[in-house]
Amino acid sequence: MLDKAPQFCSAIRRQVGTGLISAFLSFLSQSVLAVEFESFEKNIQPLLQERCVKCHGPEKQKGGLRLDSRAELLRGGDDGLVIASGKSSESPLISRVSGVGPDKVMPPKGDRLTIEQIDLLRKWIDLGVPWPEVAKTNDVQPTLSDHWAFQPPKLPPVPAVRNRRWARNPIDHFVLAQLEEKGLAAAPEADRRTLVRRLSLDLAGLPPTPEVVETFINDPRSDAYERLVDRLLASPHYGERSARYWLDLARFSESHGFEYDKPRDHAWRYRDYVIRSFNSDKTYPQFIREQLAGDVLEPITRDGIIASSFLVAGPWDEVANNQVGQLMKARARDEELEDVVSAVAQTFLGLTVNCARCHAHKFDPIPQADYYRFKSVFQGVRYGDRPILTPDELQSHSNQVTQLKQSIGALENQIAEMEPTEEILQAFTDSQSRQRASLLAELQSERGVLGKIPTIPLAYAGSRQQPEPTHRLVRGDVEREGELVSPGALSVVAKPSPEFGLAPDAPEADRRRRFAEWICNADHPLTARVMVNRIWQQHFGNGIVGTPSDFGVNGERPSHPELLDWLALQFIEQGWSVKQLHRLIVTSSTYRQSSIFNHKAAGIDADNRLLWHFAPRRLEGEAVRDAILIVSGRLNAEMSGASFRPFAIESFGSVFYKLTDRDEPEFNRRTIYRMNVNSGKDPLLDVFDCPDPSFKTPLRRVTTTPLQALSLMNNSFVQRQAKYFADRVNREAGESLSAQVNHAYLLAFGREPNPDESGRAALLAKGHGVQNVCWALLNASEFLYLK
Amino acid sequence: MKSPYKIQRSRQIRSFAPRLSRRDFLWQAGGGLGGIALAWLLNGEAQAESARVVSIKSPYRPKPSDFSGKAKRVVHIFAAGGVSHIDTFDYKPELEKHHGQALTGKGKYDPFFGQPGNLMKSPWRFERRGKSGLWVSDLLPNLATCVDDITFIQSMVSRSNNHTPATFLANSGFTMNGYPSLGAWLSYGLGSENEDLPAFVVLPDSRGLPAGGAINWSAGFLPATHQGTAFRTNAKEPIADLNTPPDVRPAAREASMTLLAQMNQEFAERNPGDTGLAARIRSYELAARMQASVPEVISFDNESQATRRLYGLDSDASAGFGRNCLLARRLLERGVRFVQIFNGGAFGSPRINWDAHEDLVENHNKQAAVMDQPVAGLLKDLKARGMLDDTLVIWSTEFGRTPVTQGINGKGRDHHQLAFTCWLAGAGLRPGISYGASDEIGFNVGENPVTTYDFHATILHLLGLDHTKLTFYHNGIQRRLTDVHGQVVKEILA
Repeated sequence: MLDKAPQFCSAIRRQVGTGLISAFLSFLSQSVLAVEFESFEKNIQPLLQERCVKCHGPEKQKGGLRLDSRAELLRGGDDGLVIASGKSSESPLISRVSGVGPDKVMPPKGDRLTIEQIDLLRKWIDLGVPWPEVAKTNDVQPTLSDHWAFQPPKLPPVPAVRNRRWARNPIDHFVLAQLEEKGLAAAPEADRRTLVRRLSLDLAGLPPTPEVVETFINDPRSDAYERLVDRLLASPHYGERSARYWLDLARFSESHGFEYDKPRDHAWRYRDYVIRSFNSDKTYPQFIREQLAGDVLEPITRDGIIASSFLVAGPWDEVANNQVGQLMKARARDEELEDVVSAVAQTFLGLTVNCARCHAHKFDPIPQADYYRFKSVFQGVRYGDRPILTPDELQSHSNQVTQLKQSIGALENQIAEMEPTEEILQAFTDSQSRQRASLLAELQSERGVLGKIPTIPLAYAGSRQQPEPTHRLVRGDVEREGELVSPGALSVVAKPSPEFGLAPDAPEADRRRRFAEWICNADHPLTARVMVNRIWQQHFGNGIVGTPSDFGVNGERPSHPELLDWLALQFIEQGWSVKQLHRLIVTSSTYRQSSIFNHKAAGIDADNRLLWHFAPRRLEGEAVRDAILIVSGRLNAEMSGASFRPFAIESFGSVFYKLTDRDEPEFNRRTIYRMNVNSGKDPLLDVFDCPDPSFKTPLRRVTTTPLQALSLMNNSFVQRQAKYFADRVNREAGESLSAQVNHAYLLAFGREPNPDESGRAALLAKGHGVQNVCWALLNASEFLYLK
Repeated sequence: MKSPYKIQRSRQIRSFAPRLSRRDFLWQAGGGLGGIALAWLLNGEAQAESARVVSIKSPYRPKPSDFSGKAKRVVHIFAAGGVSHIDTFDYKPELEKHHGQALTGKGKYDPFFGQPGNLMKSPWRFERRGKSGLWVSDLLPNLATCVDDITFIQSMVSRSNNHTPATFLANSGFTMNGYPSLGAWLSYGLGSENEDLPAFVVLPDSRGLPAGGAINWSAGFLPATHQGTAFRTNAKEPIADLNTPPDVRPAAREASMTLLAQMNQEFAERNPGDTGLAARIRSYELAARMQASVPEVISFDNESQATRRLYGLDSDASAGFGRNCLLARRLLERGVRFVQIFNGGAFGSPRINWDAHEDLVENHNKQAAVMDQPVAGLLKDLKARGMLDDTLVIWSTEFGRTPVTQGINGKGRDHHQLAFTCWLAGAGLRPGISYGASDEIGFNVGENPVTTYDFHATILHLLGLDHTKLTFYHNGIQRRLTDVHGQVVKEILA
């Protein structure tokens, strides 16, 4: 950390770290009561921590002495008491640190304590060793850093460019200015045929139909492009596309992972929530709040409860949670919480706070205490299904059930009382018989109503418990508790304040609410930057920061820092609308460049970080499968609801997902609706780099392997869709082979074949059937690439 | 960020099986698979040369190591469920003396099922074996004859006594889901010597997949290229989607492949500079070659009866696992970098792994009958073929078992991670030695503890890789197989 100007900053840090001189001055001027807090929290505890606890604490207890809790301190060590409360002059601790007397001076290594420090200890002992068990909130000293990501974004001036005609919006100015600086130019605009395919794949995750392509190409209006963008952003497919990226971050798993890998039958509700949120253009802060604390934000809504599934979407070790051994159980629990903390910090802050679990972060200004402050925020989060009804709904549901049950009970009693013996039955009057019959009818009807009350819908959102206060763990070891910490946030962020003013035993809900507010604060240096970078990455394949979940010192520097800040501030300015952000980006000239190759530019910037053209990229596995389905005409566009399960679930201690490939509409839904289980991955999706569900994946890798080729060649799904594709072509284009080939090209590539292509394909169709042409189209790079 | 496709210097090594020459390959492809796309293959190659497309190497191509390692390839036998160290390789006479007595002096004890019984001596007789005189029990009579080629580590410790986290740790260095497994790291670090086959092949037990299934051979955050390819040893198609579907006529497939090759070639030419497009063209050629190579490697037609017997193929108990061991040798011969053989499946009933909670004798006898002959056969066969000189054999298990019974008067042993045995054999090792020791009853490590990190660091070292340098950037960290730990166990190196 602090790689720039290290001496200056570390000098400040040393001072702030102990805070002794300034605190000592203020100490003199404050009331005794204030001194209690000030002296312990700011002065005594850090002093003990820094100079004593290493040998007299949880790790070592030299001389049988611990100085990390009041009780231990007062108990003394092997040689007896070290403190006489209220009497500093009689306390061995003071004589030992002063070096008076025969015993070895303490601490034995490093500088001796200063007179001021010893004086502080004296006063503290004379005050009766105040040691507030519930630490006050300002217990963590601010951490300083000059790393760019922790500085608030500043609105940069929009740079001037030479080719002003090319620039459509400020994005283009930022991009072109850097290109021109390197003596490069932007690529010419792509043609409309290319653009409509690019936009459609990019925003909806599906290739455009030939009709959409032709309509756009022939649209004479000056704002035809913007209209297309708006139409795509309004399409429900937009939410499905965007949600996939988010689910990668959220490590969204529909099974537990680990040994049993049992299915999570209700986890799909979170997937639907994410799709809904993108489609309704929920403001980003609201989206964050709901996922971190939706279950406790008033007014509590179903969506809020479902959204909080984010916290528990990661793997869960059922065996460890049910085992008897307490230590292993505690370790497993600690792993769970690391998963929660790292998901939260990486997703929303672009930081690897989890790296500070065992020690201060190796690269970033994140002290170990910060990790435990985060952990304290989420320590009440537990795994499992929960009802998604709001408290009111639950109440009315329960009232209704109780009422019905009471009424049924009453009716049953009445009927039982009338239960006739043989003689009485004969003595029953007509009216009695009628009454009995009507009671029976009423009973039946009430039972019917009860039976029709829907079961309470569930989501895999987990439960919340009021947790024990959180301790820092020495080297991350659950058996080595350090000092108590309060819920809080990153000490390196100055504004919004990372101090929540909460006690270590603060109510669980307050912790997450405060934390969500902290992240959502418009002054936060990371929140908007991290999100605009993610959206940018969706459109260009690479973020402005190439490490989208690591904005720390070890992450990549932004390729266009001013643009990143400008976009972040623009995002906030436009009310945190994600759709507006997409619109801003895709309507830029930068985005509309063609993918034409430029040797000169490639020589200077092989990775296209400067954006001298639109770099072609392969579609993600889901998009490949969806594109195959839409081209074959078999896509079932049904949205939402329980996931489709293309496997049989078998159990042998563990759960096994035995894959099946069934030709039914249910299984032809978009891939995002496929049940995302850990050990039942689809080989076709697998070879196209779909990640392990339980892994946080901010950026998909693209690999090309023979197994991938084999999958597209031989996979039964691909084979079948090629047949349907051929049927469709046959149906829609008529008898003529060249018309069929033409139509097949239009459907798959959004363009007609040139005469050569047409001739070759027609020849294949003639010799072996058009289905073979369709198969080749589905295997073609042009089909699989967005360019 | 390290590109998985960075062109790197390739390294020549000795190959045991003659690689298919191009002519042989085409003949096999033509004869064996009904003439798939021969023209396409030739055509594709000629076009690639003429079109000045960037030459793209196979994703499995060999890569240079950090230094010259003794081992060129690895076979890893993972015995699932927790093999009892004190009933196999770690002889504890003190247990005989204190049989039936309570466990004392070992501090707070937290066994998995929380019901520690009394000390139990091994039901199997131990004997000194071979020239080295190392102890092995009668449970493993065949492996006992191999001790002079084995390097035992008697002081293994794990971080978990829960199967799956301990298994994940043993295979990936982390107790959580989805970190890259050892084989994926090696594929990433070294590539393969045979681009017609995957670099990392997994052979699951024929009785069933291990718990967690494919999570065990995940590439984690490494590129998917490095993921283990599980051979479905019971299925007609050993690799998913390997075979051309029966209803596709070879002539039709050939013609389609030709058209596809032209399409892809033209698209690559229209989009120069994108190496991914050239890689796609190459991937179809490799796929076609794999279609020819895999049936050849899984066919045992050329294996003698003696070899089959050596691997226990003549016994019902060991035939399934034995076939995997023989297949492993064939894969290694053909240049596959890492073959992982699972001995044991998931934790259902009846037990198909070493998890001897209920009845140690019944369970371990049954599992030993599956494992002993084939693993011994593999060792002997590798040695006889001269392959043991540069092949590393790893035998490991997630943890050992308790010196006490599970429950008072129980007949089984519970999970025990504080001390257990794993072993290595082959390239770069001092054979016939035992390193480290557990205490007098096999409860704690007595000397020279070896963690999973140390074990992995040593394996990487044997392959010429520095475990601190084999890294991949992921979410803020240059990740390593050994996290931030690990020391090479130098004492066992030749």
